[in-house]
Amino acid sequence: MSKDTQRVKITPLSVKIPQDQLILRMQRELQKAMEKPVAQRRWAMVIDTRKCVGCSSCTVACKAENKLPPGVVYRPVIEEEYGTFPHVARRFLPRPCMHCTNPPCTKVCPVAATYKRDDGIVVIDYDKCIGCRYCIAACPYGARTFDWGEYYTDGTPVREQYELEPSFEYGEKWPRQKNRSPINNTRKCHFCLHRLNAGILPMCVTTCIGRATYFGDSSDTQSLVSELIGSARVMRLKEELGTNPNVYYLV
Amino acid sequence: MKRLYYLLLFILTVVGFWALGVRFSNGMSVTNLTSYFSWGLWVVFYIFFIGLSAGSFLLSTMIYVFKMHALEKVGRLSLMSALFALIAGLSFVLIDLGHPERFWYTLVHRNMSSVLEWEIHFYLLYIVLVVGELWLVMRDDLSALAESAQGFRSKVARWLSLGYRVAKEEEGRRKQKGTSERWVKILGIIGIPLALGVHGGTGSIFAVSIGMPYWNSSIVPIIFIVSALVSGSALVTFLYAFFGQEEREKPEILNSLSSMLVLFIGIDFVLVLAEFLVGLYGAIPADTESLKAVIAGQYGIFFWVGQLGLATVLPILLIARSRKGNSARLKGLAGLSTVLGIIAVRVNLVLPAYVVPKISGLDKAYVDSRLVYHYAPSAIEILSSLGIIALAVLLFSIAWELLPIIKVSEIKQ
Amino acid sequence: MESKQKDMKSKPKGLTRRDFLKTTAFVGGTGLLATQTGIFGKIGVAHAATETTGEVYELAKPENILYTTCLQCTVACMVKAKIYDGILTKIDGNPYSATNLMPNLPYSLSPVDAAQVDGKACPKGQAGIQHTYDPYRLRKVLKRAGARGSGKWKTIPFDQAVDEIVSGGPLFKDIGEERQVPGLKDIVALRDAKVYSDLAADVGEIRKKKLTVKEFQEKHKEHLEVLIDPEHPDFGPKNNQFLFQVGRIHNGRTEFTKRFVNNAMGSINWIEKTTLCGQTSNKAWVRSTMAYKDGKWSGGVKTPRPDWANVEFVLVLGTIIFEANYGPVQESEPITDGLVSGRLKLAVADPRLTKVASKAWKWLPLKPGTDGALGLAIIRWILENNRFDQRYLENANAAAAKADKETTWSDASYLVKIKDGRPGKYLRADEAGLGSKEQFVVYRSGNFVAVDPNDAEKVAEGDIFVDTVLNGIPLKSALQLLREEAYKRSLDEYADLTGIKTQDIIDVAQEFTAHGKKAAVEFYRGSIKHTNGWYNAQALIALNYLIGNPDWKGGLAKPGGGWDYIGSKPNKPYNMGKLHPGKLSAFGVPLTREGWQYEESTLFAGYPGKRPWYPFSGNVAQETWPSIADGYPYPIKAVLLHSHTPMYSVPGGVHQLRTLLDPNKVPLLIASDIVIGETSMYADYIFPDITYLERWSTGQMPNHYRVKTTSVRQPVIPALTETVEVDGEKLPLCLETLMIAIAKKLGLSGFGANGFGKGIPLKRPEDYYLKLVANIAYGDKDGDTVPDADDKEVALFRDSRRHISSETYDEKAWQKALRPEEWRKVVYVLNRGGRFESSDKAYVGTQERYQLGSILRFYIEEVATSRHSISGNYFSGYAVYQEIQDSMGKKIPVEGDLKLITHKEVFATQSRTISNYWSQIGLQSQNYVEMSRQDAQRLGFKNGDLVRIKSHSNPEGVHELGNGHQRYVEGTVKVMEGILPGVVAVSTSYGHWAYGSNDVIVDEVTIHGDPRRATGTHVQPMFRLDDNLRGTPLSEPIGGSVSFYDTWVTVQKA
Ligand SMILES: Nc1nc2c(c(=O)[nH]1)N[C@H]1C(S)=C(S)[C@@H](COP(=O)(O)OP(=O)(O)OC[C@H]3O[C@@H](n4cnc5c(=O)[nH]c(N)nc54)[C@H](O)[C@@H]3O)O[C@H]1N2
Ligand SMILES: Nc1nc2c(c(=O)[nH]1)N[C@H]1C(S)=C(S)[C@@H](COP(=O)(O)OP(=O)(O)OC[C@H]3O[C@@H](n4cnc5c(=O)[nH]c(N)nc54)[C@H](O)[C@@H]3O)O[C@H]1N2
Ligand code: SF4
Ligand code: SF4
Ligand code: SF4
Ligand code: SF4
Ligand code: SF4
Ligand SMILES: [Mo]
Repeated sequence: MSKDTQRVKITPLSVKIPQDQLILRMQRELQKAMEKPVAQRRWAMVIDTRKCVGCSSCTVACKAENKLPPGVVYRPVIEEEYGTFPHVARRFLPRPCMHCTNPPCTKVCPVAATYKRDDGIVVIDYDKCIGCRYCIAACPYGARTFDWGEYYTDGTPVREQYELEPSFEYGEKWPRQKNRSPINNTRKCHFCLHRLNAGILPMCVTTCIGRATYFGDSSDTQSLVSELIGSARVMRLKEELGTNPNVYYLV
Repeated sequence: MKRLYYLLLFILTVVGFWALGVRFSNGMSVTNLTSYFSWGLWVVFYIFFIGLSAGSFLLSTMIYVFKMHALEKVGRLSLMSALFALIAGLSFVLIDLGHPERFWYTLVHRNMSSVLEWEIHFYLLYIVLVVGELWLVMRDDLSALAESAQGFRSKVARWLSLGYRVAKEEEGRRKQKGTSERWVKILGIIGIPLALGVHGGTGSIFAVSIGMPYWNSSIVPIIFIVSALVSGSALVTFLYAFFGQEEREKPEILNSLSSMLVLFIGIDFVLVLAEFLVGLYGAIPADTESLKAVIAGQYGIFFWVGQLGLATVLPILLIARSRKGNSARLKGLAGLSTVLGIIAVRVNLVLPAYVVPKISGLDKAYVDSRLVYHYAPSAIEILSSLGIIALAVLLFSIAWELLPIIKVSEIKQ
Repeated sequence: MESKQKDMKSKPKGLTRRDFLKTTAFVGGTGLLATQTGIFGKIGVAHAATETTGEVYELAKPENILYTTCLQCTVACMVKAKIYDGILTKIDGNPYSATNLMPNLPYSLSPVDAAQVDGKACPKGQAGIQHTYDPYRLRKVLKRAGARGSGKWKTIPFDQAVDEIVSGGPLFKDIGEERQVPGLKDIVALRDAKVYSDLAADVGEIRKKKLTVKEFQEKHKEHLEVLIDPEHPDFGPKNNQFLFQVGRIHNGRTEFTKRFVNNAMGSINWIEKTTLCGQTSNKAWVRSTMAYKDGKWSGGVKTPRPDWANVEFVLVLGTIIFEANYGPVQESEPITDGLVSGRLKLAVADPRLTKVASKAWKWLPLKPGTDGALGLAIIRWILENNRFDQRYLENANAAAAKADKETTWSDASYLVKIKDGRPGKYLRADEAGLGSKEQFVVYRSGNFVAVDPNDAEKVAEGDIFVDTVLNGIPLKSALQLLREEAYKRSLDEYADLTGIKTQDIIDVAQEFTAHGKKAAVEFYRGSIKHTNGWYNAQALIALNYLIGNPDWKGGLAKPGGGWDYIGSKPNKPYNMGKLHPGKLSAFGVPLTREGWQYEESTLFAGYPGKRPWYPFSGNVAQETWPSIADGYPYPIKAVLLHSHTPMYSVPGGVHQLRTLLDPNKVPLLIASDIVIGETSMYADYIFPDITYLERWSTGQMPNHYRVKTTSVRQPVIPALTETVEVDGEKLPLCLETLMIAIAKKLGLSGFGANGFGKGIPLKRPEDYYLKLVANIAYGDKDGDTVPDADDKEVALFRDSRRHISSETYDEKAWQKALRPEEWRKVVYVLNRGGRFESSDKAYVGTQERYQLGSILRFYIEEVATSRHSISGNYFSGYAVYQEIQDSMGKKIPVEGDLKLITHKEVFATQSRTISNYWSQIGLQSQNYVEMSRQDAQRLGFKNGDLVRIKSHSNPEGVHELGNGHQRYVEGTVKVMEGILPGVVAVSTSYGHWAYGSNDVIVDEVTIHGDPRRATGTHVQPMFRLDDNLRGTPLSEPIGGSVSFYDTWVTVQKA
C-alpha cells in the first residue's frame, strides 16, 4: 500500500452498532422516550459523516415531508473538496438545525415565538411569529430560512395542488393560503416533532440511504445516540460559540 | 415652487402607498430579500431614521438640558425632526415584518432576552417622551396660536394645545415657564439614556448577533450612537440653514451646529477606522469578507462615495469653506450631504454582513433564488420606501407650516 | 391561470377524506384506531395531546398509504406512497422490502402495523411527486399542426386519433401536406398465426442455409405479397415495418407491449434502449455465466454483484455506487457500514473522484477506456505471484466443485483449439477420441480427460496452464490464453496505458487477493461504454473468477430474483404466454439485426457489410434511426416511440434528426409520452401516458439483494390524463389504453372481449396486470401461496383507494379480472406492494442461498468464432486489451485537448427529472463542464467561464434542433481537483430544449416554458460518430454498447 493515495483512514466504530437493527432499535428507543415526561427527554441527532454519501435524500425528504416552499430548506448537505490532485477528498456535511442548548436564535425573538422546548427542540410558533427575521441573522449555522409564500410551479401553466396541501409540522395542519402562516414566517428544522409525536423517527433519519443519521434520547444512557455521542470521533459545529448543539457529527 | 414641492411629495406618497398595498396583499415575496440575505432596504431605512431621530433628539436634549442657549432656536426643530424620523423609522420596521398585523404581539408576548423586544418598548416610550417634550416647549405658542390665528391653523393649535392657555398675568406666565422648563429638563434627562438606548440599542440588535461576525462587535452600538449624532445634527443644520427664519443669531447658531457636526463626524471616523482595522487584523473570514466587500467589493461605492465622500470629507470641506464667507448655504449643504451619506453608512452597516455563507459551502448546498447571498432592492421596496419618506417629509412640512416650530412666542408680541 | 387554479383546488373524484371519516365513523370507525397500536405495542401518540394541540399524523395512517414501485430511475425501488386529501404528498421506502429497509419487516406483518415504519428512498424517489404532478403533463392527444418539430399542436379526440393512425390517408392535409400516410392497418399485412409459424420455420431453414430463397419462394408463393421483400424472406412479413421503440419499460409492461407488438401486430421490432445502458456488462456476465445444456450455451445471469453486506475488499470501476448504479438505496447502507466498521476496504477506478471514490482507500484516476488494461495488469500480477485460487480453477465439473464445497467451477482448464494461429472452439471430446461431442477436454497429469461440465458424480480436474498439441491440433487452456494476453505487457507498460502507478496496481492486486473469497470486482457503465467495453468486462469478470469468489458469502453473489409473474411455471393461475388465442410469433431479421449473424442472412455480401450486425446483442438502440435512414435491412413505415428520447439520450443522437423529420423515411411517427419531450416533440401524434405512480407493472428485481423480491407497481392516484372510452370501458388514456384501442380497431388477437380466451377479456389494463399479481401470489411451488387477506385488510384495501376514481380503480372491475378465490390473495400482495422474502434468508452457512451454481467461463467460444460484420475481423473469446477503434478496426487518434466523459448525478435521472424542483433543480440548478485545475490553467479558464465544446464529429459544436433552430453546445466551467487532468466531464440530465423548457403552441395558445428547465449543457451532440456508419456513434460490436467515453473534444471560450 503506498501512502500517497491513502486519504481516508478507516477506523472501526468505537461502539458496536447492531447494523441490522438500526432503524427499528432507534424507533423503539424513541417510543420509549415518548413514554417519559417531555422534560426528561433530550433529543439528539448524530450524523456520521463517514457514512454520509452526500446523496441529499435527507434534504429532499425533509422538503417533501414539511412541504417546504422555494427559499426554505431545513437540511442542506454541504459539500467541500479538499486537497490537490491526486490527493483529493470530498466531504459531505448535512446541516439540520443544531437545536442548540444555548440557542442564540431564541434569545433575539421579540415575541418569544421561537423557543426551546423542555426536550431540547427549538421550535417556532408560527401563529406567534411576526416574521421579523431577526432570528435568521442570529443563528450562526444558517439554519433558519423564511417562507416567502412562493410556489415551485408558479410561472408554469398551473400551480399544482400538491403545493397547497398542508404541512403537518408541530402536529397541526398548515394549509398554504395567501399570507397565512407559515407563509411570511421564519421556518426551521424541528426534528420532525410531528413524527416524534407519532412514534416515528425524523424523516431525514428514516430516508438516509447511507444510514448516516441517528436520532434518539441522549438522556437515555442505553440509547444508540448516547453510545455514539460517547465516541472519540464526535465533534460539533462552531463549538467555540458556546451554542452547545444537540446535533453531533462523527468524523 | 412650493406647490411643485407638495405635488412631488404627494405623488411619491401615493405611489408609495400603492407599493405598500401590493406589499401588504402579497406578503414578503414582493421584496428581493432572500432567506440568506434577510434584511435589506427597509431595515437600512429603519436604522437610518431611528438614527436620525435619536441624533436629533440628543441634540435637543443638549439644548434643553445643558442649556445650550445658543442653540435654543433649533430645539424644537430637533424635537420635531426626531418625532417624524421616528415615525418613519417605525413604519419601516412595520412593513418589514412578515406579519405586520401581529405588530402588537411585541407588547403582549414578552421575551426579555430580545434586544428587539426591548427596543420596541424603548421606541414607544421614546415617542411619548418626544411628544411630551414637544408639547411642553410649544404649548405657549400653541396657546397663542389658538387665540390669534384664523381658521384651520387655529383649530389645529387649539386641538394640540389640549386646552392649555398661557396665563394672563406675568406671575402665572413665569410659573408656567418654570414648570415647562423643569419638565422639559426632566424629560430631557430621561430622554438621554432613552435616546442612547434607542439608537445604541438599535445598534445592539446587530451587535449581539453572534451569527453575524460583521455586526458582532461591541463598537457597533457606539458607532450607532455617534453616527446618530452625526445624522441628527446634520439634519438640523440642513433644515435650519435652508428653512430657518432669517434672524440675527442665525450665523452663530449655524456655526455652533456645524462645529458640532464636524466633531461628531470626526469621532465617527475614528470609530469606523478602529472597527475596520480591528476587523481586518482579526481576520475572521466571514468578517473579513464583509469588510472586503465594503472596501473593495460591491459595497465600495457606498463606502467611498457615501460614507467617506458625502458623510465625511465633503461636509468637512464645505464647512471649512463656509467659515470664510459665513455662508449658511454651504453649511446647509454640508448637512444635507452628511444626511445622504449616512444612508450609505446604514447600507454598509446592514448589508455587507450577508455576503458570506455562515458555513462555507452553504451557498451551493441548495440553490434557489431565495437562497442567495446577494441582494438589490425590488421596485416595490424602493417605491414603498420613497413613499414612506415622502409622507414623513410631507407631514413634517405641514407641521412646519402649521405649528410654531421656529418662532418663539413672537406671534404674541 | 386563476380559473385553472380553482379547478385544481376542487376535490378529487371519489371519496374525500371527510366523507370517509363520516362513513367509517358510521360503521364503527375501523381503520382509524390503527395508528394507536403499532408493531411495538403502544406508541407515543397518547402523549401528543398533552404537548401540542396536534392531530394525529395523517401520513402515518394506514388508510392513507399505498405501496408501489418507483421508476424515477430504473432501479425500481419499492416505495410507500402517502396520500392526503386525494393527493400524493409523500413518498418513502417500502419497509416490507429489503431493498428499502434492511432488514425488512416480516411479510406477514399487517399493513396497519407497517404504517409507522418508513424505509429509505433516494432524492429522486422522494421527488417523484413532482414528476407526476408536473404542470407540463399531457392530458389529451396532440396532433401536430405544423411541420414536425415546429412546436405547433392541436388537441384531438382520442377516438379520432386512433382512427387516423390505424386508417392512414392524407392525415396532414389541413396543414398543406398532401402525402398519404400509411395506416397501421396497411402494415399488419399478415394475420394468420399458422402461416406465420410456417413462414417463420422456413426462414429458420434459410438462416441455417438448409433452404434457398428460391425454394422458399416456391413453397410459399401465395404468401409472398405479405413479405417485405420476397427476395429476402428473412426480413419477415410487412408487419415488421412497425417499430416499437422504448426506453424505460419494466416487467409486466414489457410483456404487455410485447404481446401487442410481437404477438398481435406480429412485428419483430420491439426495441429497448439497453445498449445505451448497462448492456455490454449484462451480456458479458450472461455469456460468462451460461450453462452448457444439450450441446448449447444458454441461460446466464445478468448482474452478479459483490455481496456488499459481507465483502471485505471491492475494486470498483466505472460505476458510481453511491450515485447511480443499481442502485444507491440498496447498496449504500452495507457499504458505509462496512467502511465504518472496518470490515470493508474500497479501491475505486474512475477518472473522477466520485462520491464513493472519496470514501475509498485508494482512488485510481485511470485514463478512460483502459479498464481492460488495468484488469489485465492485475491479472498478470495475480498469475505471476500465484495469488489465484488454484484449487478452484482446476475444478472442471460440478463434481469437482462439490468436492471442494464450491458451487461453481470454471473453464480455466478447458482446452481451446488454435486454428490458423487464433483460438477457436473448445476441443470436444469426440475430436480427441475421448468421448462425445457434448464433452470438453482438459489436460491432467499428462493425460487428456473428457469432461462433462455438469457431471456431479465423477470429479474432473484439469491443469490450468496448458499449451500442447493433440493430433496435430495446437491446444491451449482457456486460462493459458488469458495469461499470454496479460503477459504481453509489463506492469510498467500497463501503468503507462492506464495512468495508474505501478505500485498502486500492485497494492490493489495484493489487497484484492488478501481476503480469500471475500473480495470482488464491481464495474458498470464507465468500464464498458467503450468500443473495447466487452473485453474490459471480460477482464474484470475474470478477476472475480481467479479468486473463486462466486456464491460465497462476501464474494460474488447472484441477485435473489423474484417470483415468476408471467405464469410460465407449473401450477400458476395464468400462463400469460399461452393465454393468447391467435397469437402471432414474430420472426425475421430485426431492424437492428440483433441476434443474427451477418453471415446467416440473405444480405450477406462480404465485408464490410453495409451496417453492423449484432449476433450477441439485443435492443441495439443506437442502430434504429440510422438503420431506418439507410433502409437497411428494410424501410420502416410507422414508429411508436414510448418512454424514450433518442434525440436526448443517444450519443450523437441528434445526427438522426433529419431521419425523424423525413416523412419518406418515417411515414408515421407516433409517441407515447407524459410530456412533450425532446424526441416526442418531433412526432406526428403524441398520446399521453400515465406516470409510474398512476399505472401498473410488476417491477424489476433488485440487483443487489440476495433474497427474493417481486415488487408490484400499481396506481396510487387517479390518472391525470383524460378518461376515454374503448370497447365500452371507461379507461384512463395511457399506453395500454392506446394498444387496447388499436387492437380493437384492427381486430388484433390477444385483446378485447376474448383476449385471453373465450369469455376472458383483456379490455382494461387491470385485466392483464392483476393476473400477473395473482401469479405472484400463488408462488413458484406448492405451498408457496400467500395467505388470504382478512376482512380488515380487505377493508383497508378499499379505504386506501377511496381517492382513486372509477376508471382506474373499480373494485368490481378489478375482481372480474380474477377468479373469486384469487381476490383476497391479490389484495394481500397489493396491500404490501409486492412479495418479499425476509432478508435473513440470504445465506446458507458461508454461502449465498441463491447461487450461480454453474460453470463460469474465461473464454467464450461462440464469440471467438464470430466476425465483425464491418471489418470482417474475428472477435476474441477472452479478455484482451484493445485500443479505442471504429467499426473498421481503425484506431481513433487523439483528436482534441481533452477526453469527454459523462456521468449521472445522484439527484437526477436521465432526461426525466428536470421537472423535479425539490431535487434536481434545487440541489444543482445546472450542470458544468468539469475539468482539472491543471487543464483549466493550461487552457486559460476559470470557474464560471462560458465555454463551447467542439469535436471531430461536430467541429462547430452545434446542436441542430430542427426547423432552422440550432444552438451551440456550451457550458459553464467548473474547476476541480477531483478529476484526472486531460479529461472533461459533463453530467447528463440538463440542457433541455423540450420537456416544459420551451414554448409550445397548443390549439393556437402559447404555453410558456419554464426557464429553470433549460439550464446547463447537453453534451450528446459532441460524441464521436463512426466514420463508416453515417451518423451512428462509435459502438462496441459484441455487447452492442454505444461508446460514451471515447470522444476527444476541444474546449474554447464561448
Ligand atoms: N442517480 C441516477 N441513478 C441511476 C440512473 C440515473 O439516471 N440517475 N440511471 C440508472 C441506469 S439506467 C443506469 S444504466 C445506471 C448506471 O450506473 P453507473 O454505471 O454507475 O453510472 P454512470 O453515470 O453511467 O457511470 C459512469 C462512471 O464511469 C466513469 N467513467 C467514465 N469513463 C470511464 C472509464 O473509462 N473507466 C472507468 N473506470 N470509469 C469511467 C464516469 O466518471 C462515471 O463516474 O444507473 C442507474 N441509476
Ligand atoms: N450524456 C449521457 N447520456 C446518457 C447517459 C449518461 O450517463 N450520460 N446515460 C444513458 C443511459 S444509462 C440510459 S438508460 C439512457 C436513458 O435514455 P432514455 O430512456 O431515453 O431516457 P429517460 O429519461 O428514461 O426517458 C425518456 C423520456 O421518456 C418520457 N417518459 C418519462 N416517463 C414516462 C412515462 O411514464 N411514460 C411515457 N410514455 N413516457 C415517459 C419522457 O419524455 C422522457 O424524457 O440515457 C443514456 N444517455
Ligand atoms: S442552529 Fe440556529 S436555529 Fe438552530 S437552535 Fe441553533 S441558533 Fe437556533
Ligand atoms: S422571525 Fe419570528 S421567530 Fe424569528 S425572531 Fe422574528 S418573530 Fe421570532
Ligand atoms: S429532523 Fe425533520 S425537520 Fe429536521 S431536517 Fe430532518 S427531516 Fe427536516
Ligand atoms: S440522506 Fe444520509 S447519506 Fe444522504 S446526504 Fe443525507 S445524511 Fe448523507
Ligand atoms: S434509486 Fe431509483 S428507484 Fe430507488 S428510490 Fe431512487 S429513483 Fe427510485
Ligand atoms: Mo441505463
